[in-house]
Amino acid sequence: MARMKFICDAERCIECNGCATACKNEHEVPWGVNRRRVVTVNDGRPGERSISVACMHCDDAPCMAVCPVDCFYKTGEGIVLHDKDQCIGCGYCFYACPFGAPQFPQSGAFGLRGKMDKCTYCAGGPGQNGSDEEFKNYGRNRLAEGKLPACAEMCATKALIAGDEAAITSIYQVRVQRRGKGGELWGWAMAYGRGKTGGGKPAPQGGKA
Amino acid sequence: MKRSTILWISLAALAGVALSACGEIDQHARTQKIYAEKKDEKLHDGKSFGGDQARWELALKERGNTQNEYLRTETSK
Repeated sequence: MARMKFICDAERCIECNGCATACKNEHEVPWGVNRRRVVTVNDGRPGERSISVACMHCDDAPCMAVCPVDCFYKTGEGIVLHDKDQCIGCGYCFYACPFGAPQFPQSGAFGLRGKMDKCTYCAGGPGQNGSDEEFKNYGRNRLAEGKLPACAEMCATKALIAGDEAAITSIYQVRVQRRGKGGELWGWAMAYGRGKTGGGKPAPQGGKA
Repeated sequence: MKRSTILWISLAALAGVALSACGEIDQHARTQKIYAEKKDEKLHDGKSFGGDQARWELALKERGNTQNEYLRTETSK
């Protein structure tokens, strides 16, 4: 299995927030924690675009690099996960992440900050796949059930696509060729490096970070 | 100054230069991150696929193809 990645097609995203809703519902994410959200740029002006943003599971993940307790690990599929039992909720990863992916629940008094929570690519966390403990801490493990992340599967316009790098880049390439525009891949260069693919196929044209 | 003295001084200086780096302490930060906590199961392990990686990969591939609407619309023609 090659690398698992996300592509958000800004030409297709209609800001319906279906991805964010699907994520919250699937993993029973508490109030105040948004593993995925939709960001709109140039709101109300010509060239307005919306992009669905979450952890991009970077090749060279900055959160892993800065974590003082080394609670992050990467699966064989390139998914960046973390161990909540080890996380101290320091927030370094939040400052390091270019996508603002790490989230911190603030349920206690005096702005008490809990352990970090982020998109798991619907791959759960450490421990037994599909166990109650895994669900409680990290949400549902859809990948272990042979399913793709809920946000991408729920996306009505298929603006957000997820899966093996080679497969999703080929889907995107066909789209760009057919419509003849919108080849910029938001966040791709930032997360996966410029011109570096690793999946044997060239990255789709563009390189918007 | 004698020739031998000059030779000794230059040899000592040369040795000093050659050995100057030996006492240096490595000042690079630890680059290898070590995750030594809970182990995670492989995604194809567990109830659904029972460790069959090929079957798991095929399931994901089939699922991924549903994201390609061209594949759906054009094969139905």
